[in-house]
Amino acid sequence: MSILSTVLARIRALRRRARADRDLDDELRAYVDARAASYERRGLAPAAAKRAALVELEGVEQVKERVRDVRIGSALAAAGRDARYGARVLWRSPGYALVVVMTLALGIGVNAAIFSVVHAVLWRSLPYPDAARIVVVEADTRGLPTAYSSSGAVFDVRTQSRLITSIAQVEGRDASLEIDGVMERVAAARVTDDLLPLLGATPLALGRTLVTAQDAHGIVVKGVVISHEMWQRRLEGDPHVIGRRLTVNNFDVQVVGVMRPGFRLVLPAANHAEERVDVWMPREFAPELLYRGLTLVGRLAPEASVTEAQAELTALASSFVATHSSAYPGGLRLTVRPLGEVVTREVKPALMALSAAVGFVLLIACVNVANLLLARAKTRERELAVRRALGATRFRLMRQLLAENLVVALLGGACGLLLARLGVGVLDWIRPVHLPRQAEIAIDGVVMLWTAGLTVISSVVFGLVPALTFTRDAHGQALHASRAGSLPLRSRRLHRCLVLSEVALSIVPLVAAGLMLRTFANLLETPIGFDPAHVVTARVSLNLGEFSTVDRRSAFYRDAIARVRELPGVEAASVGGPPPLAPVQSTLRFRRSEDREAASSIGMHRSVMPGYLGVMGIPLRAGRDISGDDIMHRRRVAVVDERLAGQLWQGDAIGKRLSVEYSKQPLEVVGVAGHIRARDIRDAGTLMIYVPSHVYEIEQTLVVKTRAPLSTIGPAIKQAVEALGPGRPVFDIRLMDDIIGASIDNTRFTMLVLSGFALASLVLAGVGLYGTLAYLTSQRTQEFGVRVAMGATAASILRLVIREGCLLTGLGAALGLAGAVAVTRALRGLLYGVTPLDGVTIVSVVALVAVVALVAVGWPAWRAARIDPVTALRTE
Amino acid sequence: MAGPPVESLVKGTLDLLVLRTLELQPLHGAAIAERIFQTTRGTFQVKAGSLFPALHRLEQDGWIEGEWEMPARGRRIKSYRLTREGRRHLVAEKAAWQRVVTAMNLVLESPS
Repeated sequence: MSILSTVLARIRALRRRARADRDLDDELRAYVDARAASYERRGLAPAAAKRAALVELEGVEQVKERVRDVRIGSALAAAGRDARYGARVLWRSPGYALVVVMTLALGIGVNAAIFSVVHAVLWRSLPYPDAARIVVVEADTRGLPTAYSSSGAVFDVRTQSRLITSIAQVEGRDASLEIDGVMERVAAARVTDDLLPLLGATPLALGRTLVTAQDAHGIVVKGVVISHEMWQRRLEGDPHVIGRRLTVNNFDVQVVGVMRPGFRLVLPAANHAEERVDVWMPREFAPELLYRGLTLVGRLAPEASVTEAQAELTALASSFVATHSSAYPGGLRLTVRPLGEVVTREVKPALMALSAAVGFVLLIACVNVANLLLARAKTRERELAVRRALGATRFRLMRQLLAENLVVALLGGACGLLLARLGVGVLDWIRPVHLPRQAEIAIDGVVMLWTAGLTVISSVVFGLVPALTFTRDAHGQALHASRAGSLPLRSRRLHRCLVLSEVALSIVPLVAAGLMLRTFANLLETPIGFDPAHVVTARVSLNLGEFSTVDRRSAFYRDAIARVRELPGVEAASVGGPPPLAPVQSTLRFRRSEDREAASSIGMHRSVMPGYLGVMGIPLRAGRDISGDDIMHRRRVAVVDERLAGQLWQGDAIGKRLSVEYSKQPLEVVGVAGHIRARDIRDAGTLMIYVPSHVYEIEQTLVVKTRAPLSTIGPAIKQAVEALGPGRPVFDIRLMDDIIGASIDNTRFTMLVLSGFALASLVLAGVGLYGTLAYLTSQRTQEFGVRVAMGATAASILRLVIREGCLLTGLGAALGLAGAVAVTRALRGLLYGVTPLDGVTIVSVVALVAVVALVAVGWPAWRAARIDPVTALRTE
Repeated sequence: MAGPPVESLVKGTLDLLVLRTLELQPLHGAAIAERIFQTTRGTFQVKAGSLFPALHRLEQDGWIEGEWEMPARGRRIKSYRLTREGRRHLVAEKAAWQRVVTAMNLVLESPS
């Protein structure tokens, strides 16, 4: 009788309880009648016979109760009994229990930890009302994917789209905030009027939302909204804060509103906005065609779908291209995507890879536990066979075993949750820079519920095979098996299968981790074209009131460089930004001045002072560097990188003229510099031009070549520059190496975590391999004894065991590699400089597994080889 | 009679007795008890309080199945018969029991 039909029968029994009761009544009455008839035959009077029959019955109700117990109560009562019994069994073998619980805790713990991340980052909807309707509009122009739209296009989308009801721009950046003479750098965002209402931030906790018409005048900010945290921390929660004056980026502004507590700005990684914004500043919607790079957030009309909005924007985009063909030489594609999807786009592949890896860890853990359960078969088999012989059904025994497993699994799950808490702490410590909503990662109710579910499923996964195997013995073979006899062939085969699958399962995360390790090493070793060693960077933000003209600003940079050069330990200093591989980079388009019709190229620029190339160790290939004279006379010159020179002028670039975006007059090329990787180490193709700082004025960065430690030179630089006068704060002083390190943080994170999981699976597989082989060998003690007695040498026994181990490992590894080939394909987007079928990785992984296997197999083999035939045969 | 009736059956023995009794022919509750009483020459006197729970348990396990019979006169009677699975089960149980008996004998009759 199958389990299913038993269960169904029980459900039916519950449903037809009333009818069953009636049936039982009839049955018992018939019984009494029959007994009475029997007494009558023996000569009793009918009434006396009936009474005797009833007395013999010892109470109709009691009998009915006991039958009912069998019918309904048995399932429930038995479950409790099973659990108690299971706990007792575990208590009697604490070593076994400990190993099983710890193995499961590891498997379940890593899963709970990663699930808590996936849940917080990928699955939970964004913390905004009706978040599914919030979309991001992206614009792809030729060669510049996800560049976001120009304000002009946005302006048109805003006025013409029917399905996107409100549209807002956000620009994340930091700002200096000064309250009562105390200044600090805070996370800030410049937002258009619609953004806060669109994200459901209104009504605010205090005051009103930003209105550009009142709170800004051109680029001059007059009013700001501050965060609840900032209001509490710096303004003591002053209830009359509205109207209070603060200094933001050296502008005198007033507070117009205070955000609700805990409001977070969750934006795509490309926006570089902090989630905890402290100062919200107004930003005007300007109909310029050229300004690009801002995230565009919109809200869909209630009845519109993303697909419909997409169709509408596609039509709009082609009409833009028709009207402004010069602004979109390569065409324009507007894409609508749900905000939640865009926010997680960069981290999703890595998180999926990690989820898969922890799945493997858990599978290996389950296989390990299953193996352990099987190894206990010897002791339990007899016990179970006796119970079987005494009338316990197979279903009953299976249920018993599964309940025992559930007890272990629940213990393992509880320990796993503790482990997951630790794991979340470790994740926080490794701290990947671009993991959105990291603050929300926690072991909460959902994670616990999920873990509980996973625990129950695991207990079935690891318990089913052993339970089926144990209880199969219907004929009590176990009862007459000799105590030290060999395992039946079938059971040995099962052990081997499990070990084999364990090795196979561990190969996949190992290969994945190996590929990530290679990727990371490749990123570190890739020539980046400049020399970051001993370079310190420091941002300088000039007060535009104090430094109102280009010449004043240039003079300041000159003075600052001179001051810093005088500091002890400084070898060279200059100004130029943004630093290569920093998160924010500025792109622009350019072309040869003579070909007016040609499509422009996309590249980046650095605004520099003389000596920048030298400090950064960027080689000059031809011509000259930007000079002091260029700055003094505001010459429109440029140094271009060798790739650009090659692309536009076949390398002969000196003296040629370059037309660039945002500038009517062309630049004269005076030098050619070596190519550097400026946006991303993985990206070799970005072209670069270096222009004097007055050509494109941006917030500047001091670059200092020094062998002095950051802890002494940092404050010295800050002091030297700030001593020149007010309005020139120096902040964010970092090593160039750290900026580069941060740019590959996400890869480092994936690599570290994946390696951790791979190591865990390797250890589990090693332990499983050792445990099983040791067990299988010990079961063959007698056989080996006989072999030795018949003349086998120790070496031949050693060979026998090692051959078995090697065969299992080899088959498992082959199987695992086949799986790895199929699975690691999905990693392709995360890799750099290696293919998923990287020979070095595969060979190393196989070698590693081979070494672990050799150790795991070696010890049992050694023991087997030293068997003394007399002792072995006496173990009977 | 081979001695006083044994009140407490070894757990599981009753199932075996019932199955064996039904192997010969389908019977209803009282008849099963009487048959066991007769066959064991009065050693096992099965009470209704043990018999009916056992019958229902065996029925749930699928070894036996009950069927209502309507006699021409009087109440309907539920009689039980061995299923095909029950028959197979009984063979296995018999064998197991033989081993238990042998084992018990070995222990009890071993020289002290």
